[in-house]
Order: sequence, then C-alpha cells, then structure tokens
Amino acid sequence: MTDSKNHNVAFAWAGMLGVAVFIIAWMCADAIDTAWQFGVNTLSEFGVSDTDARLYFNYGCCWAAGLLMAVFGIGRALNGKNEGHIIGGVLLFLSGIALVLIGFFTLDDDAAHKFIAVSAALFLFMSMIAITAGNWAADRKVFAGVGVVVIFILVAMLFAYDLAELEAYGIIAAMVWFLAESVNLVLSCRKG
Amino acid sequence: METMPRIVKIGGALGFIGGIISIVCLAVFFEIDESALAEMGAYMLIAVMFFALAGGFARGGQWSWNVLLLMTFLTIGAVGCLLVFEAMDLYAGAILAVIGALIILSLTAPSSKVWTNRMRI
Repeated sequence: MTDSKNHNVAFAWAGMLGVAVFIIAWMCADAIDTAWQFGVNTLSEFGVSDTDARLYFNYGCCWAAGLLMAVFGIGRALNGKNEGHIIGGVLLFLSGIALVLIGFFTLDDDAAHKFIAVSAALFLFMSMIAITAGNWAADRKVFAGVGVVVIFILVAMLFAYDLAELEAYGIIAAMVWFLAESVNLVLSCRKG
Repeated sequence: METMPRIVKIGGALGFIGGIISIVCLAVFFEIDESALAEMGAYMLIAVMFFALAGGFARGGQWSWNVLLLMTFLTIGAVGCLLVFEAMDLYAGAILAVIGALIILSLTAPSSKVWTNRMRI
C-alpha cells in the first residue's frame, strides 16, 4: 500500500517537472531565436526556426514536457477518487501524447500540426473541467476553485485575444493549474 | 449569543474592503462617455460580488461554506476575465484578486466552515 502511494507521489512530481522543463525550454528557445516575440508569434514557429530554438522547442517543450504530462495524467487517473479524476487523467494523458506529436509534426506539415495542436489544447481544457469537477466532488474545494478561476480566464482569453496571445497566455494559465493540481495530487497521496 | 470568530470577522471585513475599493475605482475611473459604460459596469459588478461575499460571513448569512467558497473563486475569476478584456485597471484588478485570495485563506480556517454552515438563515 505504502509503495503504491509513493509511486503516486512520483507521478505527481512528474507534473511539476513537466512545467519546469517546458518553462526552461521556452526561455532557452526565446533567448536563442531573437526574432520570436511573445504574443506576436505562435509557439509553433519555434518548431521551424532556423536557429537551435527548434531543438529546444521540439525536444524540450514537446517531447519531454509532453511525456511528463502523459505520465502525470496516468498518475491522476490511477489515484482518482471519482470518475472526474479518472476521466480527467485519461484526457490529460491524451493531451500529453498530442503534445509529443506536435514535436514530430511541425508547422512544415501544416494540416497535421494544426489538427494535433487543437486536439492537445481541447484535451487539456476538457481534462481541466473533469478534474475540477472531480476535485469538487472529492471535497478538495480549494483546488477545484483554482480550476474554476483558470477555466474562466481561459474562456475569456478565447474571445479577447488572437491566436498568438491566446496560446502564450493560455499556456501560462494552464501551467499554473498544472502546478496546483500536482500539489493536490501530492497532498491527496499523503492523506490517503 | 455565539461570538463571531476573529477569522470570520477578518473575512467579512476583507469582503467589505474589496467592495469599497471597487466603488472607489468606479469613482476614480469615471468618464462621461458611452464607451466607458462597460468599464463602469465592470466595477459595479465586482463591488456587488465583494459585498455579497461580506454578507456571506455575517450572522444569518445567505450561503453555506461550499457556496461561499465557490462564489469567492467566481469573484476572482470575474476579476481575471475583466482584466483579460481590459475592462479593469491592472493594478486595481491585482489588488482585488489578492483580497479574494485572502478571503479564501480566511475561509479555509475550520472555524469559518463551522460558523458559515451554522449561522445561515
């Protein structure tokens, strides 16, 4: 029983590590590709950059962060206290896999890239809703509240911002939720 | 009569302060212009939401602890949405979001939960 709990905590830390990897890779890519501008260019443009930013984006932001996100999704589903957690975990896993695929299908494959990128965003958004509902039902009200605020802000961004701004600010909002959810998973594993 | 716990008083006071700040912002950013209508409406909405939160802490409050917590998060969410739409001053929005977070902290105290659930209408 204790071993299984320890494994679940390890899954939770994968979420935090995923956020850290994504931020570091994004910062490195931004530092290398000086032509890229926050809120003006989309993140996907790093993937076809002439500089080494391409490597940081494809390997760091997509492959590594996507895999860690998928691992976290598995952890969330395995440690789920209700259907919301389990469905949310599965959707998070699918979103992580889609993020990995974005690293394979860059903007050069325009149609495939757009399809996978939109799928990743939608899977992530739906998992946020499912996990927030699960947290509310599992009496993790404060963490559910964080989800409510992030979902509200993301919906507002959808109407207020253009694609590049929506992507950049949306990812930051999603990372805040990811960190909160990782902490939630660590704490719920300790509580049992 | 049961004494109101200090943390509940603090939560209620924070709700009032949030409402008053929103009203002050409404006055400060007031413009006689049709295009300013949305901004004025935004401050009014947030003021009403904060005053409602303050009322939730009072003796005979209108909400249970669950609903009060959800409403606090919705208030912070509304502030965030208005900031995204640039219908609210950035600094005012940041202050109101911090006040909302402090209200949540006051609600997480066990005595707040007992008080708000027991002292409802």
